[in-house]
Formats: sequence, structure tokens, C-alpha cells
Amino acid sequence: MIFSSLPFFIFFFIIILLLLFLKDQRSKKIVLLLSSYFFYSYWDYRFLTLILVSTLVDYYIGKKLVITNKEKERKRLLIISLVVNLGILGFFKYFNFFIDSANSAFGFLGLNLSTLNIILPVGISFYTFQTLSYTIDIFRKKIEPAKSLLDFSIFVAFFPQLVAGPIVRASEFLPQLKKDIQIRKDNVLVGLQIFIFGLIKKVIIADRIAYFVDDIFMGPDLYGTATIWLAVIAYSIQIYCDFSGYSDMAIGIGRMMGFKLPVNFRMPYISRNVTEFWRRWHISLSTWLRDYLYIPLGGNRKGKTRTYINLMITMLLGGLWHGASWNFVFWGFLHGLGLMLNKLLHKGKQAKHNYFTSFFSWLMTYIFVCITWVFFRSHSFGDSMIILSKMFSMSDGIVWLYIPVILIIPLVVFSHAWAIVKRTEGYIIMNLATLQGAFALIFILMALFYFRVTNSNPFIYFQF
Amino acid sequence: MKKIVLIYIVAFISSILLWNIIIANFIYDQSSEKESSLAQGKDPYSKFVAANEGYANFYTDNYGYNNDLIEGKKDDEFRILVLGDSITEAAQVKREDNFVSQLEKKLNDRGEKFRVLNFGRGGRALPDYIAFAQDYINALSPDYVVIQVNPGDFLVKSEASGNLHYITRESGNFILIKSEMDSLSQRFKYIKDKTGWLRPLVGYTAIGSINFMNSLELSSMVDKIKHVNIFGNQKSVDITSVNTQSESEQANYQLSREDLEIIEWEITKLIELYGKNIVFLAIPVAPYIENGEVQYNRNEKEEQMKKDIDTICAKYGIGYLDPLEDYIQLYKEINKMSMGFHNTKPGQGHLNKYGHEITAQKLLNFFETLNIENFDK
Repeated sequence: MIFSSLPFFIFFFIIILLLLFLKDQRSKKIVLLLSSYFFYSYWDYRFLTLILVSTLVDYYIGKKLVITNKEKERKRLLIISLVVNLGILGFFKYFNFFIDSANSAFGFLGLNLSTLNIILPVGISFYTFQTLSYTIDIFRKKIEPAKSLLDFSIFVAFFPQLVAGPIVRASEFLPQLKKDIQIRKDNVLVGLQIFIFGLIKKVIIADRIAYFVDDIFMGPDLYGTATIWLAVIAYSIQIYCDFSGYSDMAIGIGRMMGFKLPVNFRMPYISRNVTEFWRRWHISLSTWLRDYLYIPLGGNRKGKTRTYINLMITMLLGGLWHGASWNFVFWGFLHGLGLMLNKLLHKGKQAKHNYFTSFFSWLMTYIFVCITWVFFRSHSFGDSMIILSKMFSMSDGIVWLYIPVILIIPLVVFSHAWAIVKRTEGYIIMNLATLQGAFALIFILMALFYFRVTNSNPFIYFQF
Repeated sequence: MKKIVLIYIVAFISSILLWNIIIANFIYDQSSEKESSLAQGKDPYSKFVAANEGYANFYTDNYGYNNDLIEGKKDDEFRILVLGDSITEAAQVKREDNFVSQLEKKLNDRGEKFRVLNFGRGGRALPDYIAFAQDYINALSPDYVVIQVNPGDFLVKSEASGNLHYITRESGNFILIKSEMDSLSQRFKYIKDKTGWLRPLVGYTAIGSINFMNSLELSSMVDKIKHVNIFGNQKSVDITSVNTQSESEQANYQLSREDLEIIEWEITKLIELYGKNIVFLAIPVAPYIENGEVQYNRNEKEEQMKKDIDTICAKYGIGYLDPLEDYIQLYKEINKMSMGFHNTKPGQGHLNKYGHEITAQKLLNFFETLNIENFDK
């Protein structure tokens, strides 16, 4: 069930009531766990087994890692955790991709392997990375294992962030389970506002833009240059509002139940270089890749060449994480190039900016990111090249300047500019006990009512 | 607590007022129907604003339609009455850009004294033009009648169609039946009539609530409420439902004997009421974009219906204009679709200003062949 649906509202209302009226901490945790399993089963109950396997394997490996002191044994346990988790992820997500790629590469030798009819379990990329971070952090002796299987199971399956992030670290979440789970008025009011903010981004902005972007990317050769540019910019806004909107809703829901989930986006489109972009976009993933891939590979500690190689490997795998397609790998490759170029230009130092260079850097970074989104979104590499050629040459075609997008763009620009001027990147939380707060809340709820798109699109990042 | 309640009451009322202003001026404000208007038009001299598809902002005429004031017919005036549905009503473009106004301008550029009247109204079909014929003739005294149609307009056979009138057979004869408004529609109309200047909000809320409930994915829990088109009773040509027929069904599609008889009955009825000075204007839904490709042809079913109707019209000496080739030419020459707007989708919905221009030219070409100045009124 998606967050912006009536079944979810009913489901969540029941959970809040249960957490409000139950006195026993253990009972509340059981409610959280069972509701999370129910939430996941609503998508497809068959894949609950995978979460249970991942949970049990990593919980017991976590326990064993603390007990044993032998380095060889500890490494063996970590490898088991990696193999099980990455094996499940690899099979369900990448098996057919590798088969198809092998057939393409070696078809001339007569290779023609069969693919399997595999369904991709929702959220597998997210919860797999989450459980891996747990065992790796215990291995590194950064955290203690979870107190109980119940606590760990909740950490793995916590429904607000289970299917599309943010990827939560055990060090951030497990301590919260040690405190009393309470439904408090201040948390509900703050969480509700964050949730509504995410809902606006998703159902008013992202879904509305999708109506336009989907058609353009389905047949880009029909449209002229101006339309293509508008679609590319629109998609950059769509994916941002869709994904950050979901993250906001997850954070808001968690907050209403008294849990603080990490911020996942910090206005990525104000970035002035690709490095900064990755500090602001999908922060939970980029920090995961940094801590568990880039740094173990050596990070920037083994010389320039090795740094660039490490960056590229990290971004290639980061691209692959998004989907089993060479489009995503290429997208990752482009970002790897961007990161390498930034390192080369600034030699690791913080760039100094005046207004002009600031604007120029921002513009170049934004255009670069938009170009990479073309590969991310297109149905094929061929379509990507059609779009790029139309973007950078005057091309005839149907002119469709979708009015809602033209109205949304200045809204997004203004909100970012306002945040820069006010030097704030956090949520704007209003006092709902004032007339301004009450008016804003009711006015926005009515906007959701009037401008909600009839057929809501699924969240883009659910496919990952 | 009392203070919070008061704050929220004030906030609620303020939001309602602000939204009413926004909706009335920038989104949707359509007057309700009044029985006293000619053929159930809109309120006369009332404001019409609709921004959901294209943008329209005009005042209705003294009969409740999209015209400048209609005065008594002059002696040397040649009056063309254009009947049709929302395509003719043309609420998506400026009045001067719709094909009715453009036709009048093109005719009068030649120095003739023409008045071309737009009596298009969303949701209308042939049974309605038959039912209201005497009203039109008594009030307007038209010299020629243009009837804009979709193929489906000829076969409105039940109340389920949502039209004001439909045709059915009784004791072996075809008769015209007036549809009864269901109780929900009656209640809604009553509420809209009584809400005065809050009417835009009330009207838009009805549409918004249905869309909102659909978007909350209630379909798995209750039957999905049909998406209400913002123009009320308007039926739109649903390409997807037509195209869901199998290829063999479409290829072998033929109108039944009963359907052919209905069409012939309607045409003879129209001739009986309006005289032979009638021409049909069939607006096709092509070209359109589907799955990233431009589709130029009607589907097989629609194509067959057009051929059958054309044959019957020819039998009675009635013109049947089809601007499909002109619309295709428009796209091929200058990459413009004849339907669709920047706030909807190219190739879908209603005629845009390019489509209206092409359609006006098509009608002009037709009238040029008639030698209007020698016309026997």
C-alpha cells in the first residue's frame, strides 16, 4: 500500500491507536513488527520470507561476531552475511540482467542461456543494504549487536522506510528502540507537517509532471527542442519530488510514532559541483557507498590514480544498485566522471566562489545532472541519444509546453532561493495553534483535494 | 481549547473564500443550467471560466451560448445555425478563434451578411437536436444548419449514455425519450443553484471529490466512481474503449440493421424539422499520439460507421464533411496537432485554435460550393 492511499491511512490510524493505548513496551514493539510485516505482505506476502531469512542470518551473525575474537572466524561470519544478503539481492535483481548481458556479449559464440521468470521483491535493495551495514559495523566494532531479535527485526522491517528508504544505520535506530515508544502531541504535529510536505511533492508535483514526462520519453523523436528541454528539466524535478517526497513521508510517519529517521535530501539542485550533489542527493545511499565501498577500497588514501578508480567503481556499482540495466550503469559512469573531474579541477580543496563563478558552477552542475537523468529515465540508449541530440541542436517537432510544469518550475526555484536566502535547509514547521498555521494547513489540504492527480503513479524508487 | 476551535473555524472560512476566488477566476466557473434558457443552455449573460483544457473566459449570450448578443434576424441576413457538443461549444479557445466565429468572419470578408450562431453545448447528440429543433427554429430562424457530430452521436439508445434525450423503439416505431435526472444529480443541481457566489467552489468540489476518491485507490474496496468530466454531461470519444476490441472484431465491425434504421430515422427526422439545408460535420479524433507514435487513422469500427453514415447521407442528399485529411496535413506540414493544448496533451481532447481554423476553412469551402447569394431562403 502506498502512503498516499486510503488503505494506508486506515492502517496507520489503527497503529497509532494501538501504540497510544498499549502500556507495555514489548507489546508496542510487537505491534510495530507485525504491522511492518503486514505492510510488506500487502505488496506480496511471498517475499516476506526473504526479509525473515535476512533478519535471522544477520541477527545471529551479529551475535557471533561479538562472541568470537578470532579474526579468521570473524571474517568468515562476515563473508556469510555478505554472501547471503548479496546472493539474495543478486539473484532476484541481477540474474536475468547478467544472463542477457552474457548472451549479448557471447552470442556470436552460440551462447544462448535462458532467463528465469523472476519478480523483483519490493524494497530489496534498501533493506539488504540496511542489514549489511549492521553486520559490517559490528565487524568493525563500531556498534554493539541489537539487544533482542525483536529489536533487530523491527530495525530491518520498520515499515516507514522499508520499501524505499532512507537507508537507516543501526547506530541511529537501535538506540531509539531502547527508549519508551510514545505517541506525543509535539511529535505528531511535527511529523504530520513533514508528511504533508512530502505528500504535496509527490501527488501535486511529481505525479502531475509524470503526465507530461512519460509521453515525451516514450516518443522523443516526435517533439521539438523546446519541448525536450522542458521534459528533461521537468524530469529532474519529478524524480526529486517523487523520491524526496517519499522520504519526507517516511520521516514524517516515523516521527509521528516517535522515531527520528535521517534526512535523505538537502536541496541537491543548489549544488555547485558533483561532489556536493552527492552530499545532498539520496544521502543515506551515498554515505552507505562511501562507508562500505569507497573507503574499504582505499578511498583517497592510495594515491590519485587509485582514488579515481575507487570513485569510478563506487559510482558504477551505485548506478547498478538503481537497476539491472546498462542505462543505470552508464548513469553511474557519468557521475563517476563528474566526481573525478571535480577532484581534478579542485585538487581536493574547497573551491572559492564569487557570485559569477557560483552561478556558473551551479548551472554547469545542474545541466550535467539533467543530462545524466536522460540516461536514467530513457527506455533505451538510442532514445537517450535522440533526446541529447535534440537538446543541443535546433530540432523541429511538436511543441508541447505543459502549463503545470511551467508553473511548477518557478515554484521550485523560488522555494530553493528562499531557503538559500534564509540559510535554512530543514523543514519549515509551523505552529498549528496559530491562525497562520491553521490557515496554511487547511489551504494546503484543500490544494491536495483539488489538484490531486486521479491516477497516482507508483513511487519511482519502488522499482529499485 | 475554545481559542483553537475559533482559530480553525476562521482559517477554514478564509480558505474556502480564497479557494472560491481562485477557482472562479482561474480554474472553473460554469453557470448551472436553467430550464428557461433556449434548449437548456447555460445562464444567459453569465461568466464562463474553464482552465482545465485550454483556457476560456467569456460571457454567454442572451440565450446562454458562446456568442455575442443575438438580435432579431435582419431581412438580408443569412443565418447559419451550428449545433454540436463541447467541440462546437469550444470553451477551450477564445471566442474569435473557434470555427464558428472564424467561419462567420471568412464569409463576411466577402461582403455577405452572414451570422453564424454557435449553439454547441457539451454532451449533446442527435436526439437532442431533434428534440429542440422547434425551439431553435422559432427563436433563431436559421437558413442553414451545420450539425457537428461524432459517429457515436447517431446511436444514443439509452439513458445510460448520460444524454438529455435518447432514441428507443416502441411498438415497432422509433421514439424520442427525455432522460430523467437521477436523484444525486438533482440534489447536486439544487445545491449548486442555491449556493450563489460560492457556486464555483461547490461545482469544482464535486469534481474534485470524485477525482480525490479515485486517487485514494478506493477501487479495490468499492466500485470506482466514474471520473466526472469537468463539463458535466459531456461524453468524450473514448479511444481506449473502442480500441480494446480485438482486431478481428474491429475488422469485421458492421452496424446492425437496427442501428442503420436508427440513423436513417434520425436523418429523415432532421430533414423533416430543419429542411434539407443541413450538413453534418464529423470531427475525427485523429491524428493522435499513442505509445510514442502518431496514429493517423480512425480505428476500424469508427471507419466503418463513417462509411455507413456517409452512404445514408448521400441517399438523402445531405452533406457529410470529414476534415480528417486536413488535420493530417496540418500535422505533416507544420507539426501541429488539431486537438490538444499545452495544459493537456497534444492530439487529445478538443480542437485547438489550429483545428478550429482548419475546420472553419473546410466549412467555408463547402459553403462556397452552394452559391449562397442565390440561395432560396
